[in-house]
Amino acid sequence: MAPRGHWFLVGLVLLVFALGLLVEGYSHGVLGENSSGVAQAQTGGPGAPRAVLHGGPVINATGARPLTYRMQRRTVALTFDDGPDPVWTPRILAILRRYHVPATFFAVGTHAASYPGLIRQELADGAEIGSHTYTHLDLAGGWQEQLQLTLTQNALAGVAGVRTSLLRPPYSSTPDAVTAVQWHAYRQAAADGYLIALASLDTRDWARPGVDKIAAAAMPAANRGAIVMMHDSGGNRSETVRALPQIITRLKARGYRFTTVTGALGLPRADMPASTGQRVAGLALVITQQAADHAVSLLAIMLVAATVLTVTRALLLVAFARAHRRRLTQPERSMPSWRYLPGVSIVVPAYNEQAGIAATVTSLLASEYNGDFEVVVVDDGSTDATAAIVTHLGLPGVRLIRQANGGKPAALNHGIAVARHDILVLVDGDTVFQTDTLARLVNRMQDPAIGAVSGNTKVGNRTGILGRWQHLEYVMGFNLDRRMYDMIRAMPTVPGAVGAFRRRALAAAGWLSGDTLAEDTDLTMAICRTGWEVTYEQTAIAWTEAPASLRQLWRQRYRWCYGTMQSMWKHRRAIIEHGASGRLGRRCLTYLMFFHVLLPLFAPIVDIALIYSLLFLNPLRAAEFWTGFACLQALICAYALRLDRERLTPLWALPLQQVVYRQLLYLVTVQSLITALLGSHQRWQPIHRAGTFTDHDPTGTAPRDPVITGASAAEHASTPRDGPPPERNAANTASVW
Amino acid sequence: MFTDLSGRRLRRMRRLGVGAGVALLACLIVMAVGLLGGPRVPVLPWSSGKAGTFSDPPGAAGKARSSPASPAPAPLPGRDPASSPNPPSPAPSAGPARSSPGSASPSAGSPAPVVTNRAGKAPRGLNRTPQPKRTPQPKHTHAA
Repeated sequence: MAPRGHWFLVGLVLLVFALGLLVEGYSHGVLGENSSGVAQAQTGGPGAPRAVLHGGPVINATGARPLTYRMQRRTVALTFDDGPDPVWTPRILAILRRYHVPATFFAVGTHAASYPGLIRQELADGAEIGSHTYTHLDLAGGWQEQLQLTLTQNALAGVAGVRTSLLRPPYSSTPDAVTAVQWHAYRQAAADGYLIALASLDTRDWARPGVDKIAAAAMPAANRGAIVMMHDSGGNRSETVRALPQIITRLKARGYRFTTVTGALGLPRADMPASTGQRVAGLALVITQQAADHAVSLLAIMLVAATVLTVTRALLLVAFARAHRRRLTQPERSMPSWRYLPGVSIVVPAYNEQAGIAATVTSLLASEYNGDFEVVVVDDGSTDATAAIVTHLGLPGVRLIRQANGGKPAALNHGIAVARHDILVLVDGDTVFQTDTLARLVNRMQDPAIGAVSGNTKVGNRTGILGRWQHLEYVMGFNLDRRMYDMIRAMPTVPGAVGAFRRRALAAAGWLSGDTLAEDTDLTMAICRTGWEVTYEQTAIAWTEAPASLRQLWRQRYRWCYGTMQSMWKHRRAIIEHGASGRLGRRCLTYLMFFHVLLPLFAPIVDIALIYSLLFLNPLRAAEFWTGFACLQALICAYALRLDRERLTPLWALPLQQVVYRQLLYLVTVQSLITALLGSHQRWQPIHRAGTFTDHDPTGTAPRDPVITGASAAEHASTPRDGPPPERNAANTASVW
Repeated sequence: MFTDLSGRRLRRMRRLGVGAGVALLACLIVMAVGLLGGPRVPVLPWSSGKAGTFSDPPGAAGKARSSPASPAPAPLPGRDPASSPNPPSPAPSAGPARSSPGSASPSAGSPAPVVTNRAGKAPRGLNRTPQPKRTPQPKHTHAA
């Protein structure tokens, strides 16, 4: 059993992250005043009491009848909404300081929480703070009003230890523009004790009408008092910043006195010390908001990193595959000598392979190879009829060797030891060869520098979505990744399903080892490190049966992923070594590290970003991004299919990989990494094997691909290949581990 | 590879995991408190203020603004400004609004902030909080 506790942790991390994103999403896109919002807020027509419509800009709506206040003559209160803003607020504060003028800032709570220093600076400068809701919400909207007001109070308490009794509702203007719906919302706010502070002069500076117009709009008629509405956030406020000195100097010249809103009315300051409870809640809110800000920045960075990595990899793979293809079409490579016909021993390790072993062995014997070859089946202590089936076939050229269960590496070593020839082809017990596979594989051994050749594995059971997904994955893996490995002369894996080895190369690598769960990867890396070339023959095709259920797929991938990590760790010194070993270490291990370990760990970010962007950002832009991504993937996959002369029809299943399949692959990586970190050992001991596979539904189908020719194809079709999935070898390996 | 027979790494990682779990739960609690918690905004002085708390002359810069409670009965909050000994501006002694609320009509030219409450009835908010709630003691001095 693999460790499980970490899933709880992963879940918690996701929950915290999701909540943070929710907070950020809720407060995201707080723009402040804008024309559409104003237009929307001011629909509905008048409906506020006459006393309000014709009254002063400050309204006390607590009582049955609203009281309004006007400003004293030659008194002006400069007010700034939507802030604080890291760019514009400091400039406005600097101007106010220069002219020794107090002002009132109606802060948006989320901005206050994000930029606490600015709120403190405003207070230190003698400015008054009012509430402008938490996310610049149109209060006429309804249910959120209470939440928004409380959150804003908490934010102010958290950043500066104050609360405020002054509220300027977003999208408000002068009292004569108050609609019935707005008035209803103001009454509700007043019930909480807020004094509503509208404006006498709305400069509409958010529309950026020009410095002169803003300044002109801020000039009261005659010597009337006024509350002047401006904005220090929500967009480019350079005009406001430039208009402000003009406004101040002109009003001062007219003998105006500058004050805060409450100061002008002789009321006590609106901002007062907050209670301890409020400060604590506020601090929590500020921490949450800021963490959420950071989480989103982090998300963006990681998404960019993941995108860059993925696109880079895609381009790299295609470039290498093209180069590989070009190399193959060079004259000296296109006409290989078929007269090289060494003796070949095919070793088939089999543990409880009764379902597929007959098909495997008969397909091997049907090989059209003009040299001498033998098939050695090593029965690794099977408890089923594997050995009996092989004996019963009674085929000439097939030897059956039986051993007590010792694991796949031991079985292979046993088979290799008794094999007569020095070219060894290792084949899994569930794999079916084409008639030309053996010849094509062995032909590459002509080059004396080559120690091992990898074949091209294809998925036989392509029915169902899972089969198609794996088919596409195999095609991409064998036609892109493997061609690249061949080009960079550093191959991490010759698959256990189909590969040819030179005995001397195996000996140099120390034969097969039980150190890892991916003995094929371990062996290939070891051979690479000894200096033998490992190459790829894309025309040597072997058909394998892919896991047919998610559960089986999970197990198989878990073994691969964990085994690959083990092999990478085992051969980690290759990174700093010289020669062929260093080539493997620096080229291949780093590639695996980035794209098979780190990128999958980043992959959940992509899903989270998708959900976030669909919910809170422009869904159209998100859709564009994802369509672009899917197209790139489809193009690359189409190229790989074309290289393999496969039909393009299964491509439709590719976009669907984004759900379930991708998640499974990255969760497997998480699981493998955690298991590796924990170093748990006993957990790998299988408790009881027999029952695990008996309930397995026989799903195997013979490869029906037209590539298979003649008698061999007929044979495959007629042979039942129902049987346990490939990871039984993993189980086998684990049992001796 | 990777196996640690002694189990020490397992124990250490488990401790680490538990620590991380506790930290994450703490994060969740902080978030919950920040988003849901916090007392409801207490009723503010406009409806509950005590007499005298508003009575700072705007001109008296630099002085602490809380003045001792005046003997006057809890006044109509809206009218407080009028009742305050009004300073620099031309017409400070805005007594009228206080003595006869009805006369305080909204007029743009009026020197002091004027209440538009023609009825002169005290808002409900006032009467329901007769006891002196914590008087706001602004720590900031009035910057005029």
